[in-house]
Amino acid sequence: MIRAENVWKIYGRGEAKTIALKNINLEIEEGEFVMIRGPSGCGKSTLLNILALLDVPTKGEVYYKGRKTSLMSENKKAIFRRKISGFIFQQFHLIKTLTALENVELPMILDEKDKYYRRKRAKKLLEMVGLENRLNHYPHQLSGGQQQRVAIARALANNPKIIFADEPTGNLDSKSGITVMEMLKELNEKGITIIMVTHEQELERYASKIIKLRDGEIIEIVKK
Amino acid sequence: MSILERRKDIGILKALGAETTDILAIFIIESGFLGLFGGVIGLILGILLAKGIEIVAHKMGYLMVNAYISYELIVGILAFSFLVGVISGYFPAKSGAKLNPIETLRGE
Ligand SMILES: Nc1ncnc2c1ncn2[C@@H]1O[C@H](COP(=O)(O)OP(=O)(O)O)[C@@H](O)[C@H]1O
Ligand SMILES: [Mg+2]
Repeated sequence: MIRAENVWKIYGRGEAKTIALKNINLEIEEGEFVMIRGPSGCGKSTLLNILALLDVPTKGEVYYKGRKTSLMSENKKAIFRRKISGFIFQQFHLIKTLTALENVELPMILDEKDKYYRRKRAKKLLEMVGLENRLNHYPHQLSGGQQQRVAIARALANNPKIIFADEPTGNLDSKSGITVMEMLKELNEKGITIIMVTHEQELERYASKIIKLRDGEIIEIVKK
Repeated sequence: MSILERRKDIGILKALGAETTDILAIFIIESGFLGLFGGVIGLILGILLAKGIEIVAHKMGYLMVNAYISYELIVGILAFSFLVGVISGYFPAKSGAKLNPIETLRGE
């Protein structure tokens, strides 16, 4: 479904030049639970952002369903981000001035869903992540684990086919971390493709494919 | 709300699939109304000041000094402050909306 071909990402130039990704080749099939794992600074986030069409490679190509994403217009990419994928950030990235309910409604507003449907679905999703009593709380009134659950509900708002998650448990205590991982596992069992980044080896048990990254290069791909 | 905070919000909106026109609309409407609000405050202060001067002048015997505030002037000032707001929102939003979401999010 998503294929990277000879993908390079180079930041800066001259003295400050950093090669974040070196000739990455990989393929992700529908329904997989992919984990990109490696030590801090090895290029995991850079790779995930490029696969999610949030960033572009310096060289190489990313294909979605066989089509070159470099040829997609900005609006086509926006549609991919809005309808096909959902992104979960390590730092949650909720809008601080909106309540939990409004944050979850946001992707549906951008997708021009009607107000009644939006409200209903946002409530249902927040209920699903166990936050039915926090609908009108603002992000700063929620714990890290609760904020990440709002972010998961938001990522699910427009029924995505793929969920991208960048160290979704990275800022959480171990108990909230397990809750988040169990949620991702459940979503994968419902058929959603999960592409997740982590540096924690013990999370590998959730994955169906592990891509090991070191210094911007893939050193091993393990299929389970 | 700081510009950096706004920039981050633009990054979040883009990551969620907002189109450039959505982002421009959101920020231009917001800054336009902020401008209008500033215009209203300025207008009220201006009218109070003018009326104050008029009253003082009359007390001192200068009966020819009259504050004259026309309907056109009020409308003109409000329209102008709305426009200034729109313009001051347009350029930062446009530059933020053009970058890719990751570049914009890094602006925190
Ligand atoms: N915007 C940037 N400018 C310069 N270097 C960057 C930028 N983003 C990431 N890097 C560098 O690229 C490398 C990979 O970063 P990243 O993908 O964030 O790694 P990870 O997520 O595995 O910790 C690091 O050396 C990092 O310093
Ligand atoms: Mg990272």
